[in-house]
Amino acid sequence: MDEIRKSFHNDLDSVRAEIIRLGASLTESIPRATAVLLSGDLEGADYLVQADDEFDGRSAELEASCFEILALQSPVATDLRQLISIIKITGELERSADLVVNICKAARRIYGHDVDPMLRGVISKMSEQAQNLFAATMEAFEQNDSAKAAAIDDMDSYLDSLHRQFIQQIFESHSKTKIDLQVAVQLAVVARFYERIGDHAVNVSEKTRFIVTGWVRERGGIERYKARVGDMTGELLRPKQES
Amino acid sequence: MNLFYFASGALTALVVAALIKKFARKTKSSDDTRAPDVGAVEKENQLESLMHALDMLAIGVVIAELATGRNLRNKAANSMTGVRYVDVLVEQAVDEMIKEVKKNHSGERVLETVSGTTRFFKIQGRAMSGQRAIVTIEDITEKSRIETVQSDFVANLSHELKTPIGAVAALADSLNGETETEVVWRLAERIVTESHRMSRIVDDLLDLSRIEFGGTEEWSEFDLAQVLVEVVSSNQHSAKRQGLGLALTGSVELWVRGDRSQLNSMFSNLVDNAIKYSESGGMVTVESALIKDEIVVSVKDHGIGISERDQKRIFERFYRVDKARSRATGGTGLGLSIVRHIVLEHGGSIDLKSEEGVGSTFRVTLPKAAKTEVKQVLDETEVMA
Repeated sequence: MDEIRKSFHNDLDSVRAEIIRLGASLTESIPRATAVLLSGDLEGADYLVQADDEFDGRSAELEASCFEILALQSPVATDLRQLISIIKITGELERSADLVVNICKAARRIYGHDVDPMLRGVISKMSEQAQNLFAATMEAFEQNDSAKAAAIDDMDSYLDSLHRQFIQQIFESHSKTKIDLQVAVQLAVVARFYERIGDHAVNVSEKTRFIVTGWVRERGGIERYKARVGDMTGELLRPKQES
Repeated sequence: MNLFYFASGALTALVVAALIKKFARKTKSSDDTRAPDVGAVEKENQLESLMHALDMLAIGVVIAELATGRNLRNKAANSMTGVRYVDVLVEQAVDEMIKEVKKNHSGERVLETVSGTTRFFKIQGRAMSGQRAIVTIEDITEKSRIETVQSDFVANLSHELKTPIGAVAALADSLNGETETEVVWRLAERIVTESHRMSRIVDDLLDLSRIEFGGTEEWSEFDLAQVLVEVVSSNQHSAKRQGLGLALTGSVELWVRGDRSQLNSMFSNLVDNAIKYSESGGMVTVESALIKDEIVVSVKDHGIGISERDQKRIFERFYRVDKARSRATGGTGLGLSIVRHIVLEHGGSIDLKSEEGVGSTFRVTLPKAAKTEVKQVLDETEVMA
């Protein structure tokens, strides 16, 4: 019996190690994509777009490993929360890696156009913040640090404010005819990609909190809904009729 | 240096051989409970010492048993690998190298990590007897930086000199046989321009080497505040032409010991750059202050700014942030390199704070000479465009 549990915990450690590695690879790819965007490096863009296939493959393998452990070991309590969360985190990382690819594709679309230095400055800041968020959220996961994970949401608000500042700056640059409309649109989309990467980091941190404490963000909403429409048994989707 | 590498290589080989024996013994079946004899204890002590020696190495060493996946690491390897961010990537690269060794008996790669500061790790692997592999991890960040600077310098120098030489040759060729006076005049003028450019590069290179080898003899004690007034006055015209304001604020009587003309040309260079890379309507400010025993002069602009990546290399010879723009403005690519050398020659330091789209501040710190005393706090010379 002990041997079986030992093997189970080894498997669990392996999937944890792999998710940390995936997180590190993703964190690393954010500044690379930004460099590609700001320097118009088409070769670098191509490299990062292709590297996403490997990332997808590793994510799929990781999920398969989790399913196998679930099927063979029937984990409970923290172990079960951990495995379910890892499956969800894999999805968040995979989606974030897609957003990094999207930044590279945007770099291709605006190739040859100059970007206003003011915009370049804000892009660099957004990239740095997105990278910090993922580094911190993966550290919280690795250390099972619920307090650190809870701080990620507040860290993300800075990225959100940079996003708003960037959009404002795009309007200003465009009105001063410093950038073409097509470039302005692409850059606005790029800013959204960074902002979304930040949101995915927040989602990962929430999964860490769930692993450690069982906390779920949606709990508050569920309570409010229950208070509004009654209990959750069969009444969830049917609001009470006013008599 | 080579001797050091040889010695460290030999030591590594010796220690690794001993460790493999130790490792092999550790992995023997645990039911071997015979008491160790005196020789074995002595060997154990030797191994202990060798393990300490291996821990002294800056290079990370990982010895992996291929069949079981177990591995032994020295201190450097432990500090470079793990679960924290960059360490995870190194750890992953080591695992990949072990797989590579399993397949091809040896392997080598350079891992580059770009988050935060860019770092380079050289990872080498080799198969060993008894189904084992040895992987070494070397942090080659500094080595790579020096190699890049050296190779870029050679490439840039040849490019910078070849461009005007090629232009002069082509223009002279066109001039040959040209009879129309206006064309001859235009071509000749361009030959003169290109020759001046070449001459500026050679002059700058000579200046740089003179400063580097400490060839400046014209040292005296003088008031740096006066130099700053001269620099600002001589640059007012070009600032005005570009629609910029140029202001000088700060303390008067800042006595330094050094080469007056060198410091004058250094601050001129900084102010000139600030003007070149600012947009019309902006402001360039030169601020001086005496902080404890140091004179601090900041040249601040609200121009296009410098990206973080370029900031790290901006003081290198011939390094240009915007190649097209800096050539168009007549720069040789040596200005900031000369500035840095002059500051160092005077026992000071220079740092840069910059943000793209916001502006840049170059801050020069120089040791004060004995005479310095602040008589007046603010002296402002300002001409708005």
